[in-house]
Amino acid sequence: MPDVNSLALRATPEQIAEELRCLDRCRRGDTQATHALIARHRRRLVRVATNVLRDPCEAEDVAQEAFLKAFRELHKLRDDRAFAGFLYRICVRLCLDRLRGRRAEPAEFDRAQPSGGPQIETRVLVENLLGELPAELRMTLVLRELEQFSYEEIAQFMHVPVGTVRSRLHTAREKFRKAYEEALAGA
Amino acid sequence: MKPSCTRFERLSALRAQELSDRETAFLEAHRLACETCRKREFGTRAALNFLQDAGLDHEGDDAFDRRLATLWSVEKRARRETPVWAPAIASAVMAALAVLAVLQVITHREELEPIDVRGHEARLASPDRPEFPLAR
Repeated sequence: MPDVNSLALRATPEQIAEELRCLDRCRRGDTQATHALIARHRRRLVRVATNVLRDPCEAEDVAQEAFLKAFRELHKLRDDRAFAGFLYRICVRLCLDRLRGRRAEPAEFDRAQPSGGPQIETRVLVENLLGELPAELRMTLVLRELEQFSYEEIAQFMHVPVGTVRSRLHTAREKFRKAYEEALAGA
Repeated sequence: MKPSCTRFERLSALRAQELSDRETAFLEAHRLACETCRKREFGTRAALNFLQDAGLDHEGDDAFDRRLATLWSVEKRARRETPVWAPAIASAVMAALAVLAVLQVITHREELEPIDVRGHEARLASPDRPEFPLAR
């Protein structure tokens, strides 16, 4: 397993120091510090959940649940520098639970969000292609290819060895490529 | 698959900044030499570009922050007001009630009127009633 303390999600030393102060104050019940922690991690966390689940509303629910669970279990955190990894690990686990709980059915146009971002047909096709992958492969592919996390970070979030991330990513890429080529041939 | 193709596949999954100069040189040389790997890499790149183009940029907003902070402060207040040992006390009371109920049944068993099942047995055993009424 990678060293969780080395993974601070590309934060500068000043940001890490500020986060440590916030965590300390948050434990003592400081509302401002809680606000600061949420503001610091919300954007990336919500975006990760959105790209994994392909549903902004569900992603916000998951991100909210992840924050609350992280705050509740803050006493379990042995090293505050690992807070980001701790939070993302909770979020990834919650996303995996949601993905496993979903029924396998093709995406429909009305599920896609109406404004901003890529064309609706592209979104639906991507959702269908990702839907063909098992939850773990889908998660690994999105974390790596869309969110640009390193193998070590993904290993930490998914609580698996780096070698497993490597092999899952290889399988996910192959399956996604084949599904994409089949979709193109069928269009 | 040749060992060099396996190596190519493993390294081509990495980003440029994650590769050493030697690995980059190997990738370039193998790409020129092996058509199968070149085609596969091209297909994978096209599929992943398609995936990246469809990335969603939803990041939540300030309302999310406020909602979450409120939820957390409500939960914290509820926790402060509810002592940590409250669930243990509730469980102990419920267990005590269950034990009392069992003791009541045991001690008053003789006072309870016995259930007469003879009639039911007689009806089931009666020769003029079929053994399986539904089979009729």
